[in-house]
Amino acid sequence: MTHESDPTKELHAYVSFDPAIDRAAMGKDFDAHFGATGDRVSDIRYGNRDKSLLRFVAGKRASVFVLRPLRAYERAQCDSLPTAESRWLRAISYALVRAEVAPPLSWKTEAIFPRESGDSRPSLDSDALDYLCECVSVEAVYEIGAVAYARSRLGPFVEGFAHLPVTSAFVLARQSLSHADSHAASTSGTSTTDAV
Amino acid sequence: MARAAASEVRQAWDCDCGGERRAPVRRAALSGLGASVERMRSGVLRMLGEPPTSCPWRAYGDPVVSQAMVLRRHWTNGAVDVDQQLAVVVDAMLAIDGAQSHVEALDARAERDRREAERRMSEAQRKG
Repeated sequence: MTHESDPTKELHAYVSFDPAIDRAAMGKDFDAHFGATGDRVSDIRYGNRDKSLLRFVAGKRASVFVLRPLRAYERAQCDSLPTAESRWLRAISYALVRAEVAPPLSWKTEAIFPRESGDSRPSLDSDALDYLCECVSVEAVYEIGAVAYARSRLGPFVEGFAHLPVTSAFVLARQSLSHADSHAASTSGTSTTDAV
Repeated sequence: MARAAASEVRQAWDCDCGGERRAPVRRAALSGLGASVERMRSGVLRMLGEPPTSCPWRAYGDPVVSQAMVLRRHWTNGAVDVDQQLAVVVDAMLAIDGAQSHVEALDARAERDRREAERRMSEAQRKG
């Protein structure tokens, strides 16, 4: 059992659509690490978040989120919320130990820590959560929150436990289209003009 | 079974403990170690609905299982606040507790059936 597959330890989580992650070099390992969505339930694949599967683009730095396992009362508070997104946001606010954000995912390089609050464990308040969303986008925060929430439940942690949110799949699809457009424009040698 | 070497027992479970997957002992054997392990495996499947995926030693080596076993001991003594424990460990503890309760209930039912059968047999003998 690797450190990542032990749900009682801290996890270093990365965002699937971070441009610093080399999706082409990862190949099939991309789906194994991050999971995959699909039109049918049978197409859905759960990611194992095993760090050894990651490949990075040379010269770029990926943003990393360090997550601790949720306590029973914290998971119960997440469970009480009505939507998946609200549960993910609550889960990341509890589970985040440290976020080291950097371009290209974020617009600035910064380490973000949760604030100490009285006698309870440190957690991200709503202002800090908003700031994190500003830095790395709400979709990235959803994805990391989904990992934190999925890790609090029993699952096959070696094989895969965290699903990829549809919001992340949309961003990945948008990135693919954007790359395809720029590739087509560069190979055809013609410039595109916006309709006015 | 009790006299068998530990390595042979692990081999019979067809588990990749220690990193090396060994050839399993004949599971279809009608007697011996392979048959004993197969009976245990099918017993677990019958009682809990899922077959064991590893040998018992490997299961106890899983950090979640070992922490859940420790938590369960403290929880039974009322010495721990469950809300403050890791959620995944609490889930595992409740799963272990549920499995044990289920097995105990099956054992109790089997014992009750055995006594009922004995009672009927003794009644039949008395009448006969």
